[in-house]
Amino acid sequence: MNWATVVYSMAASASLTLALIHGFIWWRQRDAWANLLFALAAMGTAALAGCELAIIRAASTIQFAAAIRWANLAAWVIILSLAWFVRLYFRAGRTWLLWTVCALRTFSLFLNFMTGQNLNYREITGLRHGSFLGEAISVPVATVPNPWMLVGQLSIWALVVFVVDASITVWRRGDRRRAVVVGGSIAVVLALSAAQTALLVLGKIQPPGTPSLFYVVVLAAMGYELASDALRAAQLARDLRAREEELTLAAEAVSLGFWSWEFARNEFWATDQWRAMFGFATTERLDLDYFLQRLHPDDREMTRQTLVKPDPKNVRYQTQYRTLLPDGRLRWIASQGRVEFNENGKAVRLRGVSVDITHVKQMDLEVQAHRNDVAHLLRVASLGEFSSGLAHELKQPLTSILSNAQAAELFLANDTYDLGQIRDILHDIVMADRRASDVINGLRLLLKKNEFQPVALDANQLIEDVLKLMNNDLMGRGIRVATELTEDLPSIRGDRVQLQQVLINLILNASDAMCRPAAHPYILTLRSIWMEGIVQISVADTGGGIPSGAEEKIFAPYHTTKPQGLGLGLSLSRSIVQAHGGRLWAENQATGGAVFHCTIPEWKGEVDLKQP
Amino acid sequence: MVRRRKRRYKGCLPPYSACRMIAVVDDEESVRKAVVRLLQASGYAARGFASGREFLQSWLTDEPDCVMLDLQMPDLSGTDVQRALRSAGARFPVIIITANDRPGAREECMREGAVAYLCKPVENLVLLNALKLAIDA
Repeated sequence: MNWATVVYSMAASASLTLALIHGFIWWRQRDAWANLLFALAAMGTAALAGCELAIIRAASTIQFAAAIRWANLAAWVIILSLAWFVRLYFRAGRTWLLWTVCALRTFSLFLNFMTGQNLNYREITGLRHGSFLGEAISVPVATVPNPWMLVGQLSIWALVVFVVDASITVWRRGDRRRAVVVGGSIAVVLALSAAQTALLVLGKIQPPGTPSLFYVVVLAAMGYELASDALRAAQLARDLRAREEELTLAAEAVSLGFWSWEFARNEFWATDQWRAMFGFATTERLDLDYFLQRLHPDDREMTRQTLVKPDPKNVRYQTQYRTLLPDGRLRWIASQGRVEFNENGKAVRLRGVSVDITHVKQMDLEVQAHRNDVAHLLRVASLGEFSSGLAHELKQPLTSILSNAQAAELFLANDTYDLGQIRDILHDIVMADRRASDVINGLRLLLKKNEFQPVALDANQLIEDVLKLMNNDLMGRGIRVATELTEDLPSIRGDRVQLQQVLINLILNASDAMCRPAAHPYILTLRSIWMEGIVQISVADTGGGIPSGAEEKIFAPYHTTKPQGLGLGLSLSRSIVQAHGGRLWAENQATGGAVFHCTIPEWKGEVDLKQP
Repeated sequence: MVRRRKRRYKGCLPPYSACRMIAVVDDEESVRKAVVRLLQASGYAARGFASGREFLQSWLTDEPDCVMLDLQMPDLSGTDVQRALRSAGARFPVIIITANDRPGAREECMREGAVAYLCKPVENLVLLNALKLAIDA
């Protein structure tokens, strides 16, 4: 049996098989550069084994020299592949050294074809027969080494240094096994093959040279590591699938849908759960316009603005909108997400989750409707409490109109009337009429049953409007009104009627508190101040104050101290203020009397969160 | 006294109301102006005062024949002015014109010496009749 032939053939075929496997992996996954370089090194090794077989079976010196020449081409492929493999797989190594290796080896390849018989021999004068593994092989005699072989040697030793240096880096990084198995085997095998080739050419040892067999060992080590990586990746994929299953279960349990939107390609990716929320088929291709078409017309522009112009300072976003399903049903969706940037800092995609909050909204709407009903009833009831003040407010302009009109009649009855005076009278009548209609409009607004309609409001104007309605009533009760209003307050976000109602409640409470015997003069103070994004309105009185410890109890429904009180005023006021995103609380003043503070958030301009 | 009345006669309608000076005290400017106009159109000399205090400072030197007082005013109310007038010994009649229909207010004012209690908005015939009665009394 020709064992030498068998061994080289096996080395070649094993290398080729590995080359095919890893070449295929690279073909399917083009960023797997380590696999491509491994495949190239394996192919080089197969070719080298073939060349070595040709060397030991060479029939003439010409054949012998040619086989070595081509073996050097295979070695060039192997060395460059190994160098770049180490570089990419370890993500370590000095770049200048890497390029030195490449340059030296490429130069030696040039020398291989341009000087002497090949890179190793300048001259081979004859062949004799030798023996290897019991097989007859050709052995060169009377050879002259090619001095340029030093360049080739140098390239290999430079590669050894490069690999050792890179392995040390990897070792320090903590990945010791990889450093030893891959780095160690490559460095040792390179050193051995370089040494063997040098000794062989110098005639210090007997042929044949077996670098390909050494490289097979390296391939085994590299293949082992790559296979371990593949196994780890498979395990990770399995774990990931398990997590994904869990996540899907959780998402289904809370009706959560995941989605992402690629800005450049305008393409939506979304889970089936998300698609079901909007009534999209699982295979339908989605883009921004198609998605927006599914939204309630009133919410489209707002959602588009939110999605298209992600604030570069605030990469998170949060929104609520309504979607109209193809069957006509309306659903409320809450969505939040985050903008993702590429390494150049450019926004590339928006990734987020959406959840169906229709049932929450429905509950909100019911609570809201209930609160509106109660609020309306209490408004009607509270009007009775200051009806005499309101009557006074109406009678004043009516008196002015009547007296002016009758004066005009009397003037006109006299032939010598002054036209200018009649004009003045008519002007005053118009003004008084407008004043009366203002009072009536204000009243009608309060008596109307309203939906919650947040708009931008001026807190000071709100206070003044309410005082206009109640001033006479307060005056009739002997209460002096003091206002301490901060100028240039930002607008607040609120429903005019509901906030007026809160103020009316607080003022009525304060004036009731002051009608009980107290040591202080009756002074009602209305204050407005601005604090970091909110406006605080305070209503202070000089009454008896709140019994100690009852500061919270007074906000409980049906809690009242008045004989005819329903005990709903403060509880409703608090729920109105809370629906505005604010707070309402009470405390006693150091100087006596109670003070109620009510905070309302500033108007932000954009409609960022739709209220039910 | 006679000289003063002569001066006031100018622009007034004869014959009855001539020379009668009526003070109108009301914090509400539009009402005050309208009532003064009505009185002037009816032949009275009338002068408006924006507050009880303003009137109290002026009546001693420029005594009216009658005063029409609003009840609900900041600072001094109509009743306060009535009391002040009484304690200062004023002898001219007081007519209350008010938009407030608070129970008990009429009785309180009459007790303080008002000759009439009129509710806004007040018809000119009612007003002038009350005025005539007050001045004649």
